[in-house]
Amino acid sequence: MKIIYKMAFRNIFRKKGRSGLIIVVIALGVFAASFGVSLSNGWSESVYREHIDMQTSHLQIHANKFSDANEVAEFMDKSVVQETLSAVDEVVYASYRLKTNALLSTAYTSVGLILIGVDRDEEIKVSSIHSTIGSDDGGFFESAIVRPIVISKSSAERLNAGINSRIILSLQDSSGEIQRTMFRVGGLYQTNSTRFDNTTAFVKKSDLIPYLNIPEEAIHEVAIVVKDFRQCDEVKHKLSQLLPRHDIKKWDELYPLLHLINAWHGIATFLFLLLFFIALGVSTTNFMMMSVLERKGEFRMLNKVGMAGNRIGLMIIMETLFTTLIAMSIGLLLCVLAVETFSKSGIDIKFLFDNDSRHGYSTVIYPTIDNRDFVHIFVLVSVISVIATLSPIKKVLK
Amino acid sequence: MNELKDNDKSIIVRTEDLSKSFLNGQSIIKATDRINLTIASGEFTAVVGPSGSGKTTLLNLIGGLTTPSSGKVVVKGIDINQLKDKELVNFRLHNIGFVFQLLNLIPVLTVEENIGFVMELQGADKEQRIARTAELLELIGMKDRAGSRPSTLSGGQKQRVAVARALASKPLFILADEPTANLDTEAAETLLNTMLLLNEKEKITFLFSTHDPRVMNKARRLITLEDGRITKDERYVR
Repeated sequence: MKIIYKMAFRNIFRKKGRSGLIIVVIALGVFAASFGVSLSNGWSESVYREHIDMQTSHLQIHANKFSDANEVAEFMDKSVVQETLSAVDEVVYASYRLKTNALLSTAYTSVGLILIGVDRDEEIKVSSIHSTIGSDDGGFFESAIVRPIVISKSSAERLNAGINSRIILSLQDSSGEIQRTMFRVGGLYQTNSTRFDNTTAFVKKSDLIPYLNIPEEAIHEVAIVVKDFRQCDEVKHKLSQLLPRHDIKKWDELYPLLHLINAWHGIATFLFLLLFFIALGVSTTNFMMMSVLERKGEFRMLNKVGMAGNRIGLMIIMETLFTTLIAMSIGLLLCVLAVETFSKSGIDIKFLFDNDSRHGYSTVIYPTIDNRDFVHIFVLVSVISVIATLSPIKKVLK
Repeated sequence: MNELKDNDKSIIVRTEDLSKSFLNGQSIIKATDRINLTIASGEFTAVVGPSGSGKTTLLNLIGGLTTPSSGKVVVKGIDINQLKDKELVNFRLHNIGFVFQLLNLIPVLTVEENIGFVMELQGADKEQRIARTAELLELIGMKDRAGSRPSTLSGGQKQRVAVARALASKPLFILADEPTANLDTEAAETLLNTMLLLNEKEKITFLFSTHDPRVMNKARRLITLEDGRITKDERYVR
């Protein structure tokens, strides 16, 4: 049987020009497909990372009845949650937040948004909002400003406010009473999400709690960072058992669009690869058809001397597989080199967008590809190349 | 030839009323017509006749490469036309060696790999293959070309390698279709001498078609075909 593999391998080099051409075509196809997958991975990871870093963290805990309406009265006991989290090894950081709706007013205008009360030291470990504040735009509760509020640059523009500007904050406490107080702008942040920027502001937890009429230990939201992104499901399951009266959600559940992006990414990648594989299959079939039809006489001779049809078929399959493997190795190597290069510098796709719009993710994509993607491409290309030989084999054995 | 008894142990091939017809437009052409023939072990037989007399068809029928329109071919007591495709390929692999007029060798294999090819298909072990290949290379006088590719060989050398490949697996008999057709006098002479040597030394049975007088003169039995029928069956002591 070894002779069949030997013949299959050597047959590749019989028509060097033609084999070279199909190897180049498949190699470029594999490179395009795998690099496309790596760009798609990089883009979706950038979207996930942006949302996780800026908005959702890995997991969040809320009181069961706490909803998007941000009911102040639906709070949790910090000590209970803190004690539970300390028992879960995978949990690395947690930020215990207050959350309410508020109206921010200046002499110019008013805007309604979600106000998040945080402890700076906890918050900077679960969120990167602080890192988006430029050097001329204040800080994330680092200055000596009394009752600072951190708002987005876009909110500041709408309110016609700047650093140290006074902002009147109106909110409803747990008993429904309207509370008003004055804050000063302490920092201006800017994420890649216009939607988030227009709807979110941060204050110190200690500055907010007196106006909410809730206990000192009350919290509305806990943002959690786990050791490994892939542990989210496992941690969610553990926490659901430990805190049955609480609502625990993963990053993609907190922001349904991410669910959609995730699904779309999977479908788009699948369709992209499917199209690529169909094209690859057709060109491989044509190549093998040409290759075997001109050797019909040789196959007939092999059959006459005792090489059964299944062995001839195996030889053609192996010939295609070897060709594909050589091409695939080149294509995947090119992909590794390209990913290695651009994973550091990134590829800026800003030119695709209009300058002022921000869509919730960075325009710089850092392509990434993991072994699983390589295995998928390897298996699929191998399978498609075997399928592509069926028609030529049928023709020859006829 | 035909007077040989069926129970003669030396008979390896027997044909009974073997006919093959082809349709050519509206007319039917009888390539072979009710041929009754036996081939005994160790014979060196040439099938001769003019072009279109049915020589190649007869060889193809005996080798199981063509299905007869009627009659049968019995090899080693087995009616080969009753075998299924796969069984027939396997039967050929183990019992019949072939030498064709053209396109005998596998271009991507070296001379020694070509010779060992059939043995490898048969599943012979490596040592056995190497020993037999070396022995045959010696016999055909091409030991120094063992590692050469067929494209670097002359026509005569290619045919000698084909003969070596055909008998590498020690088949029951070898069918050779016009083996010297494309060879010059010297190459044809060398090939025939090689075949004769193998016939004598290894007791290999050769059945070959030819219209080359040089080959006819070496044959010990001449079967003459005309219009698909045997018109003469003569034996010679050479």
